[in-house]
Amino acid sequence: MALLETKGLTKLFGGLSAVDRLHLRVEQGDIMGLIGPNGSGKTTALNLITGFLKPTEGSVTYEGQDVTGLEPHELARKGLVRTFQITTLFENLTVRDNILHGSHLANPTTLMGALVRSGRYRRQRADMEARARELLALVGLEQRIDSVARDLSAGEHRYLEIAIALAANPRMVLLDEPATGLNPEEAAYLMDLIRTLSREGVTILLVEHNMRLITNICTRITVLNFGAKIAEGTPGEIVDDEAVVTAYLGRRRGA
Amino acid sequence: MRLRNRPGLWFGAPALAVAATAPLFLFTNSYNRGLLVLIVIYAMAGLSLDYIMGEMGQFSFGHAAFWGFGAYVSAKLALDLGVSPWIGFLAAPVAAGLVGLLIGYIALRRTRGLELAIVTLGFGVLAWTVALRWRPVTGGPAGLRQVPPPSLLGWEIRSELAYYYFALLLLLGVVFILTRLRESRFGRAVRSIHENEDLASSIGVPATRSYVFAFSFACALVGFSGALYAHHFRFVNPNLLGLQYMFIFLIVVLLGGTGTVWGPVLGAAIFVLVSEWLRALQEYRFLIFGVVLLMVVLFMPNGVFPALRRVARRVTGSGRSGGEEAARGAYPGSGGSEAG
Repeated sequence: MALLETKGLTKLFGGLSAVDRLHLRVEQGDIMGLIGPNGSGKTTALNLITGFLKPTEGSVTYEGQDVTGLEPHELARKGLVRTFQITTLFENLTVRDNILHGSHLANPTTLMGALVRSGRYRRQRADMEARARELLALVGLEQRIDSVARDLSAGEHRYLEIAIALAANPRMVLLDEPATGLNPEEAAYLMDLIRTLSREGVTILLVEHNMRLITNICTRITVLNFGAKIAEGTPGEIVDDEAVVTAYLGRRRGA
Repeated sequence: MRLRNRPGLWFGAPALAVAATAPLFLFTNSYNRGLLVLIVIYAMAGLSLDYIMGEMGQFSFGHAAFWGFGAYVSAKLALDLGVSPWIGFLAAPVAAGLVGLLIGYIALRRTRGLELAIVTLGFGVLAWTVALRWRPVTGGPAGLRQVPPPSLLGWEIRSELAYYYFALLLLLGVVFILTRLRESRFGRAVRSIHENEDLASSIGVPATRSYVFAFSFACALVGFSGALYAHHFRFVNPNLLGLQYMFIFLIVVLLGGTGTVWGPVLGAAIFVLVSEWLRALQEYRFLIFGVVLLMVVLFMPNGVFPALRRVARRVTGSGRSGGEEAARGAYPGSGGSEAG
């Protein structure tokens, strides 16, 4: 059984299909790449899956349950968490507070505990603080814990965004063009990070138009063009696929 | 660890000392002590409005309507049903909170920001009109008179002095709860929606539901403040729901500083005292306050309290980086007085 599956997923914007009858299967443990030229419907597909847009037709199944049309926070509660194409953080908060505010689902404290500041509440808060440090160490931001988010570099923004996503204890993370705006070293670090997540048991759906990034780390790849799937397979199969090469580069790849 | 810190103590402790001893000097006659009561009541209303403005980053132009509504509920219960004001002090926030839940549910499912401000303005005007016209229940333009004061162990809390300490104690309770609430899971959820609603949703915060509850909480709090007003000044009238008080609460919040617990308290004190000082000018006072408000928004956009805090930090030689200070300016829950 696939962890995530879409069937006939379609989104019409005023008669134009941004996503056209998309069938997508992501197995537990996959690093699935979703690629395609600009405007091919990748981000729309991701928005449909995560509840930020409602599909015109079709269904989304997650862990065997129909989750079509659920709100983003309901999906997050089921362990399906996303990041955004344009990095979004809690820009005015410190790195630490970004994680603590991002730990809503992993926050066991009660209102009464917070009001009377019980011993249990303080222990829970200390645990959360420790967990925040762990996550920041995982993404390499432990030195920046007291910095304000908006002072971070583009790469650090991405790493923090991923740490926030992890704070929700997700089973699956959907990353929307995480390498955008990163320099080659940052992109390489990001790939390592994605591999680390995968090793920790998080299933990943990676939306990207950077072909090299995606062929390097994905286990499977789905290619979109004009909202429709034109190819699916392992990275090796995809780079040799005629339709993909034509759609993606607009010409045959040079010998 | 941050939890152990006592943000705002540098201001809170001296302010409390001044507040506790104020009736011993300057405010020695009952008229002046009445002003102190007013400061406390406005501070509480300002804190509740600031919960919407500072914590939620939203705006309600109907906030005075909930204040007046709370006042009417408690007054009506006492006058018509002979219910003790103590029950009124509970019933007013509950009733205002429930109406706030309804209005919040209707408005916040669809609107944020400017649209929400307009929807709440519409509600406020509607509520004011009802209070004015529904004579059999509200007493019409004259309102309701002879609202009884609360009594404790057979002794009426009637004097300005007693009522002042009573209200001050409640205000401290409110400040305490607000400070703790900020750090709670709910408080953090509200803050995260304010910061970035899409991100908050994507990590599992039910944004609209949290905002509806936060809005309702602010309405309950202002309803409570309204009930305190009714049982001290012993009357209610439709003006309490109107734009004049809305404007006052707005001045209190903006003058003191949004997103800070002590800002609205300071704002209320400044407003009431300056307003009293300008009494001879009657309605023209608002002309001056209009200008003051403009100046504050233009030159001290964070209000008086954060400006004071900066001075205090400089004096105590705290070495915070500029970025961090700016970040905490809007979020006192995590910053403050570990300077000393």
